Amino acid sequence: MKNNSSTSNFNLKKFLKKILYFILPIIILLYPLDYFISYYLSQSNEFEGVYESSNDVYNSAINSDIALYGSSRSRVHIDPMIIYDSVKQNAYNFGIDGHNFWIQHLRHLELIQHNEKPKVIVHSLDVQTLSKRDNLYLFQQFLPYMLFNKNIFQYTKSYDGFKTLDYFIPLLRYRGEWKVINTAIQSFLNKETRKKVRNRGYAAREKPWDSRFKNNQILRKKITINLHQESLNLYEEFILSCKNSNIELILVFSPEYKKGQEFITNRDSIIQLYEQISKKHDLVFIDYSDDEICNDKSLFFDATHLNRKGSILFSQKLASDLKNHPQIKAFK
Amino acid sequence: MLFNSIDFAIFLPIVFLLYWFIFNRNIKVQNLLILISSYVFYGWWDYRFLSLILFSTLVDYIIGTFLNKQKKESYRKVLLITSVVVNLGFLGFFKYYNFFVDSFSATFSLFGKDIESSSLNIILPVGISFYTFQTLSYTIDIYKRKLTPTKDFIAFSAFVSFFPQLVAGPIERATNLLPQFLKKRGFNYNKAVDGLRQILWGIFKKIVIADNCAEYANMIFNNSSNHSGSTLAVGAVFFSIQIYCDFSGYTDIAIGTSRLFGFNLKRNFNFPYFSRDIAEFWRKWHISLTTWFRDYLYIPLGGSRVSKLKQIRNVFIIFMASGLWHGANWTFVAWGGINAILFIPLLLTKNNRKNLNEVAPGRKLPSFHEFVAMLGTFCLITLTWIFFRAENMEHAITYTSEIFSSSFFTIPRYTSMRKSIEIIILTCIFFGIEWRGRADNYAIEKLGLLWSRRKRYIFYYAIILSLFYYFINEKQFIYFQF
Repeated sequence: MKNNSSTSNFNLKKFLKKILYFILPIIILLYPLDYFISYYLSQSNEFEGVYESSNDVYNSAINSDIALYGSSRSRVHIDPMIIYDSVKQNAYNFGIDGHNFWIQHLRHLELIQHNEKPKVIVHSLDVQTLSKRDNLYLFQQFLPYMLFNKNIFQYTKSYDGFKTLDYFIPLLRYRGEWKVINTAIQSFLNKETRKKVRNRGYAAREKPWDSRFKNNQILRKKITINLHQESLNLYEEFILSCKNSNIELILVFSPEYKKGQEFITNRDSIIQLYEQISKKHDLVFIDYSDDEICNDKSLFFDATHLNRKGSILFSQKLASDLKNHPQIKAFK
Repeated sequence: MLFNSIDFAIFLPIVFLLYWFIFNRNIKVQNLLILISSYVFYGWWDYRFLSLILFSTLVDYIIGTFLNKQKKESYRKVLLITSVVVNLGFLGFFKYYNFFVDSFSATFSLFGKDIESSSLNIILPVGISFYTFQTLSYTIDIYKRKLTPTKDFIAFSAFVSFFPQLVAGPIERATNLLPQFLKKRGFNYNKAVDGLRQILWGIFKKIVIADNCAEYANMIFNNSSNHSGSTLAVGAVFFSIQIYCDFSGYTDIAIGTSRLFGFNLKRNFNFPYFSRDIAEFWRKWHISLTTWFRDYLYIPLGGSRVSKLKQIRNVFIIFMASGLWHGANWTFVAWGGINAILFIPLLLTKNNRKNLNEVAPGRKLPSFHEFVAMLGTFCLITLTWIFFRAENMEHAITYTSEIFSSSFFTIPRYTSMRKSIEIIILTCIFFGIEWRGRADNYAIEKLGLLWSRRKRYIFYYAIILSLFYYFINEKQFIYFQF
């Protein structure tokens, strides 16, 4: 009986040793492979150069006094070079496609953690800014930077998609992401795929007007935006932290195509809320929601996004308003 | 908890180490660990339904004990009926209540009488059909005096809820599994290594083949009205492969996991898609369910030792009951019925036991005749799967009739066709490996055992790499819904 038990123990140890021997190469390779994929993915210009801004943030290469925050509407609407030409201070566009303030705040935290804090933040608002989506839109943009990243973990864990271990075990988050892996390999093999497509975070779209709009107008039901209370609280915290850090926060509501505005039932009340916030905290709020640009379809490629022509026009207007606004101190 | 989840990848090694290193002194403590682990495993999905398993366990444990003590046949019968009523009552309520209520009201409205149907919002407990049949077999076997009940409640509870096979089988018989809980289990190196190999193969089947085929099967089935007959036929083939790799993959993981803990589960699949006729297919597909129906329904009804007419009746009963076991939908009943129709000619011409031996024994390739027979059987089975997969009868009928239309002779077209070619090539390689290992318990049981360690490891690493590359997301196993 004793013999049986000792044989069993010997076999068990042999079994565990063999498993260890088998998985050891996998464990050893996890981190180098993760590094390879993450590095070359982050160098690729896939997803309209989404990694460029993040690379600049994490490489402490921002070097800007003016930070432009917002969603894709910020990213395609405001040209930092036009702002520079007007106010003679470096600007950088941190607009992040498809995301509300929740993720915009994550980018803010990463920016100030890895770079010198900006003197001015121009926050491009839209009707969705203080709502929160369920899915992590374009989750691929977080992949190269999320391993052991506390901020990304804190801000993205509430979305559908990643599991807790994805943030802490190398390579795990790339499982099944064959498109992403192929992108990284392409980036490794072909320098062309690493060419920059953004200029200080800004990338205008040359797209023509979306012809589906007319059909959508008929088919699309009106929607009401639900505000996310935690995002609202976070926004209040953000405003106070800007004040405490002597960062001048300027709120901007950039133009939307007039006929697209009717789809949002509570649009007016959301803009009123931004006005209230600006008054409460004594912030400048420049509202272009009813600007003449809104009436000109030729300046848009869809109901909420300006095309290149529109973005140049709007950036010039904004730059001039920023420079000449009596309450803005930073550019005096 | 899903076998193909990170949660399980953490859960399994923890239970394994506790089982063999901490709780290895005493079999009762080991059984208790299995019981607790099984409840954690099940509760991970929904802890509220643990009470259902516990109640079912208690009822059958008590009835089993009384059945053994009771000498009077009439009392014994009452006890058996109690067990059957309680078990099938739960199953009926959770699985079939809405189905019968709706079907009843639809039947009445056919005759012009509208009755108010009161469907309930019932959640179907995962695996209820599996553990209900498992516990039922315990009381029936005691009633038939084939089995002596156990006094060890922990061992019995562990037998009912044994986590590797709790939610999707194989449906074990107490005569096979229960004694293993009562015997000291020593660690067996070869068995454990073999178990790991079977787990790896099962995960490969599920993640690489089944889940990827599911993408195309779902795409085609969910928009079937927009596709030609040829595309629908491709969709049906994708589903055919999906369901086999999904379910047999689950079984491989279940059997492999059990072997890590020193248990032997029944075989559930025996390369069914290499069958030469429908009867052979049903001897090789979901064996634990078909033998359950054979032993507890078909044989008590007289089996094939009755008149021709009764034989036909019996075949229809078991196939349709099997269909209904899968789900509360007329599509499953129709699926069972079609299989019965395909099976009966073989039974009546006494050809149902023609292909009992392995196909092409000792040969690398099948003969032309064998190949045609296998292909024909696969096509027939694939057509029956359409009813299994369809949303409702109308969907199944329109889907099938479109396949038999002239559009069958067009080139199939669906989105991501180029990507699907990659999956088709992988599936061909997979079936090649299955064919090579068809004489074994699972395809890679002996594959590479004579290779050098390096070559063997490269093969395993290639499988792991493919899991990593082709992983889609943690998709539930199809049979969880049953």
